[in-house]
Amino acid sequence: MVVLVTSDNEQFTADKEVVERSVLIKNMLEDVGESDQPIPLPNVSSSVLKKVLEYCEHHRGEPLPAPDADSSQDDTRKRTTDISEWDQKFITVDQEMLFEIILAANYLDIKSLLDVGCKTVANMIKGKTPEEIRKLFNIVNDFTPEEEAQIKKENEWAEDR
Amino acid sequence: MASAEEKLAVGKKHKETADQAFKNGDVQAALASYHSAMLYLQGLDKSAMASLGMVNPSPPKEGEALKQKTEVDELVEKIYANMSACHLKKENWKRAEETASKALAKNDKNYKAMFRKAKALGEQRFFEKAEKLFLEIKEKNPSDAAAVDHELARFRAIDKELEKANREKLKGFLNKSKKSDGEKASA
Repeated sequence: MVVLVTSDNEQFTADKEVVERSVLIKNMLEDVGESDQPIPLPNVSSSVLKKVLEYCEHHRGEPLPAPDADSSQDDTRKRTTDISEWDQKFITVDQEMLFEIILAANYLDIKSLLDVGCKTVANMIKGKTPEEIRKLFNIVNDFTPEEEAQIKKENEWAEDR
Repeated sequence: MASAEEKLAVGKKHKETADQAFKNGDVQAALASYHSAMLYLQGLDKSAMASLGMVNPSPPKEGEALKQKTEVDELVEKIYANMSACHLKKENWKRAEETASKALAKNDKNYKAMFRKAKALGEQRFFEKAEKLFLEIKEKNPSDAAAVDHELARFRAIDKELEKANREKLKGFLNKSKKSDGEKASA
């Protein structure tokens, strides 16, 4: 068992096999060896870690992607926006939690969870107009009308018609 | 919740502890502290995402966030490079290669990390990749030439030795089969 401590000082205990879906923690345990000492995760809050551990628990035992597979076989994985049913349900959270999960997955180095999060954001953007996307993510439009017209003209070819 | 500055300070302290342990030859303790430092420093670029307005609606002043990010990046780069040195000492070549690569991803001119990666590759018998990288170091950073030549000569010698051993094995294989044929015939 491994003990994790979140940024808000809550302790979580989980199976080694579960937490090792995090490559950050896996490498650490391999390099340093196991100890009773809790592992501090100062960049993850308890509400987020709870979700992350739920994900790791569900996917325990599945093979981890090879550390050097980034460039080659990853391509097909990146090209699809398909998300499995369980993952879909899991990632149905409010926007703030979604971004927190993405940040935590990046921090803890859990590639598959990072994929699920980013694909979800991609699906949120897909098919929307720039103005709709701005509203969705609370982005201030800092283009001048001239700039906006210019960009629209340059990207005309990509518009759905 | 600790602020980014506080986390940065804790991360730095762990790194200093690790550097000291490494100097004292305690590789294991150094690795442990480097990992602790990483737990605090990694993910601090969260502030970068926050400044994009994606997490926190009130972005910090731009200049501030940028400066802090580069400092964290530099620390992370150094820690990875030093972790690689620890792994080389432990003869854990694969992890030495991985960590050196991560340092290089932050800064592709980190010649120390490049040298460690080349060495780790050579030790894993990826002679061709190692040789290519060693020659690249020599070209880009001539002051390392002596050390590079030393390692290159060493790996070439090992390579030759391996080749010789393999040839020997093959020779024996042919002889053996002939001999056993002969034995069968005489039996």
